Amino acid sequence: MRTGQIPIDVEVTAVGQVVPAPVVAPSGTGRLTWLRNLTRNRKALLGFCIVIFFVLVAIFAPLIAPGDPTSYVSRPNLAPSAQYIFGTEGQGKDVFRQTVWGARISLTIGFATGALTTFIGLLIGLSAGYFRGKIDDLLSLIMNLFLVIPGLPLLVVISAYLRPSLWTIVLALAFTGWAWPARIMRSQMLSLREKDFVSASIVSGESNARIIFLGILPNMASIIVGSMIGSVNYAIGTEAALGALGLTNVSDVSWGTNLYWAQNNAGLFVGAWWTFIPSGLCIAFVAFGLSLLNYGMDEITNPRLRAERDLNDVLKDRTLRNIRATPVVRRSH
Amino acid sequence: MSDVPTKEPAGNNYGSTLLDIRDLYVEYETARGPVRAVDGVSFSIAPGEVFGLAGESGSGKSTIAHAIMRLLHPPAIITGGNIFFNGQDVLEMNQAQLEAFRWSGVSMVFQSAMNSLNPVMKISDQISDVLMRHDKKMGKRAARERASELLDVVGIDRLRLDSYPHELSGGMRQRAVIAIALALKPPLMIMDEPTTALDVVVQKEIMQQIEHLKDKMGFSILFITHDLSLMVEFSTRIAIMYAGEIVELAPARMLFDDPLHPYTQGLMNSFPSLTGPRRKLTGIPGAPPDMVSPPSGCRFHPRCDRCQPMHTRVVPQLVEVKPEHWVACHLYEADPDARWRPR
Repeated sequence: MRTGQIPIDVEVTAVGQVVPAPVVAPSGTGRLTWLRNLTRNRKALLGFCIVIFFVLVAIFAPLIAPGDPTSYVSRPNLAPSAQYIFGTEGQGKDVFRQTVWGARISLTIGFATGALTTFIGLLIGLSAGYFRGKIDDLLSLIMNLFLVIPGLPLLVVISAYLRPSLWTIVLALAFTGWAWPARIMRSQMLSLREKDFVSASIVSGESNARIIFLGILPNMASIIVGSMIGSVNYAIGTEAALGALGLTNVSDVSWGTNLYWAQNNAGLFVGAWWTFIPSGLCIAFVAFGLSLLNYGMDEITNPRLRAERDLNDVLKDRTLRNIRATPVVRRSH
Repeated sequence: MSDVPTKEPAGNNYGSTLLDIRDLYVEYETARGPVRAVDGVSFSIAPGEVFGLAGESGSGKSTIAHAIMRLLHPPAIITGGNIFFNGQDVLEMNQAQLEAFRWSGVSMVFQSAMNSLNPVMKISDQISDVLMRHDKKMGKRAARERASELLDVVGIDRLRLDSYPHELSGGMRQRAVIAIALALKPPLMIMDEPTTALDVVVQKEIMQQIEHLKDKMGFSILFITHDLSLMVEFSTRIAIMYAGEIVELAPARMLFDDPLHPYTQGLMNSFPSLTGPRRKLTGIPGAPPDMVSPPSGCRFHPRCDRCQPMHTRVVPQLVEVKPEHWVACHLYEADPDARWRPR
């Protein structure tokens, strides 16, 4: 290179273009950028706060609602009062304690199942998409099989058959829930593996594991996070459904079993709404929070969506939004 | 229309005007504040003219091209100016008028022509689509017939009508894209880096074919590229853009023989000449400016080797320093007679 004439930070290409060396913009320091993006997005921030709130409630349950949630504290079906702020349920247990402590098992099952489901989905989906051919045929067959089997009835059968405990529920939920994430990972892998950088890695002799996990996997980060949040959501909802049906361990305290006991003790019949509303609302809020987080993630990881939202913030005028053309907003210059 | 140009070389010497862009501003809304990608740009294109728009990446060339068709995606906003096409302002059009204007008024050969073809549709269907969309009375058979004519025009064998894009070579795909752009016989064709992805031989072939078609059919071309040698060869007039502004505008030959703006001179010194004497290549030092907070005064001053203190404060106006040769640079003075010369 003729370094004598051309400054180091400029390159002249064969066709005569002057290409300046990239100038690295001073951006936020590395790892915390995602957190800043998260807080800047209203949807994601709200979702994040809701989820974190319930996680904290679960962690600090002994401080928030001290005492054994399974002990009988007073007469049954007491309405909410200063002493028992959520009242007591049909057997005389404190509903507030049960709701707070219930977060522990519900969220544990939710996050454990989410992680396990995503892990199995990744493993099977990535292998199917990367190796293609016979391996893909076989794995796709299994995935499709699991997709067509109706999940809840199978779960009911499995949970009834296994001795109910927290971890058997996690296993059962992961067993019926892994196929959908696997399918998503597979299709992502199929399209990513066609990219030139994968061919380049193959040519340069990198191992398959290295290409999959260090080359391709980071490109799927947003999809993996999204699918994981979705799985957690699915697990919490389904655990509640199973719990309400009495198919989990009914001596555990979770939001699902709270609903089961409320129904078993005829809470609805005697008009004791406080026995099922708190747990039900908690489930709804966590699902709401996780969904918001997921939509927010979409916007954070997809710059196009973010740009559209920013633009809509600028264009308060609705008529401008619906025209399929670049908006004209006259400003003084 | 104002009679005294504010910042722009409004007229051309060809009598009539097909496209007249006046004082166009385009901004991108970003988290760091609005980025003005196009900053008060004005130029006009005469019927039958090939107008070249050159400049480095990010200087606003493609933004202008897309703004003409109002095809910029969010977060872009057009924040000022007028784009007159045959006297009608594109920026005032409603959805129906825009739909009629797009493609039959101005068509476009996109930057990545390879990607602008739908991989799962036959070439014939992609051409017929355009024809039948704009002429509701045209039947499937007539559209197919016209599609094969168009392939003839751009030099693709009719037998390729039922091919899929992946069955064609890069050059053929490019020709097919040009055929689609020609389909409605628009008076103006925007070519955004039409040959960047092709080798020089095919590039030349296609450019010559375009020129031939232009002479035969009489459309104008807005030609965008950063390949200056190609541009000088095929354009009538050339505008050089830097940081969202036109810094120099002149007939192609004049610009090539006597570039005035230091940036243009830098560009000209960045590519080798095949026929001229051997000379040392010099690049342009520095990097393109950050468009969120562009440099004060003359935007090129941080990279300019003839910069003087005044240049960092005062914004130079685009003035006609020689007949038809416009420059925005403090080193030159306006030709006092230029404004009064009849156009």
